[in-house]
Amino acid sequence: MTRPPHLARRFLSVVAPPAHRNAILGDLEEEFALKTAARGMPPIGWYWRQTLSSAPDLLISRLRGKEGAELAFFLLTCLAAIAMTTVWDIAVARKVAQGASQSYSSLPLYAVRAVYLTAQAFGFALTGGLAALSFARRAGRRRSSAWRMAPFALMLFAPALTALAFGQDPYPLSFRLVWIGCCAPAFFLGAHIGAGPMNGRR
Amino acid sequence: MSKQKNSAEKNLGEFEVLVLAALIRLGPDAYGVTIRNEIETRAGRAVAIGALYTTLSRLEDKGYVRSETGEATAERGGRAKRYYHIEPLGRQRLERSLASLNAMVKGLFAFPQMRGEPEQQ
Repeated sequence: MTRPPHLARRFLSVVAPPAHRNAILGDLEEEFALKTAARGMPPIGWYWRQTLSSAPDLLISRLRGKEGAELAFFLLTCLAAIAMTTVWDIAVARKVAQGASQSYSSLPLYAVRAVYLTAQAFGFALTGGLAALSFARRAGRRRSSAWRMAPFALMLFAPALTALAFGQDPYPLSFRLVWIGCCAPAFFLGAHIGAGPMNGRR
Repeated sequence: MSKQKNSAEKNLGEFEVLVLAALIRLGPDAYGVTIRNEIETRAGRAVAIGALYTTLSRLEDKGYVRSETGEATAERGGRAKRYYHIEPLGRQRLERSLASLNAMVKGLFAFPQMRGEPEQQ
């Protein structure tokens, strides 16, 4: 028996609200089978039209529900985290590095940068910890594992990665790579500690 | 509270009327495929499955319909049907919406504009 296009089914199962996913996919598959029997050939175009014309309604329906609130919470937390790391960079990390440079005038540039990176990494660990805590409180234990913070980390590092990709980064490439190499693990370490004893449990 | 009351007292939308009418006509056999076919056959209106389930979900939230999971069949890829039934509150809302529509439509064809004649001065 010919089945509907796999990609269209996958797309529908992503956009359809979980409560109606089975019914929607089942209904379309039933109609697909009926039309295939009637026409003698699978109505691939019809299935894709059904999928694409239904997607806007299904997406809006999902966003109006609990998932929309979760997405809004995720985006707001991202914004808060970006603001927090920016403020930490300006108010703490740069000042610590400047202080070190002024106190020890013979300190080489790489050492000043190392101090700056350490202070930055500490800020990212703090942000990761607070984000993991707020996610765990809101979404329950399931969301508290550090690895689940990966999409969040991607949003947080997106400005730096974009600047790196388009060659508009004010920092040298080697410094930026070391920066990401320090701050990203610090973020996940902070998230792991923030998730605390709930980490990994269901 | 007053907003909720207002929304409950509002008349149903055109598509909601079509869906509730289809549920009454189909009785116990009302699920996605049959509802879509009923509306397409009788009202001559193509219905996107997304729009249908969004409307059914909204009507269910308002307490106008209830749903139950049915049997899974091979031609549905092993997925269960979801049957919908109209509730007394839904029937009441449908009656009210149809009554107000009837009140507006009744005698409308007596007007010259409806017969395509020029408006009298």
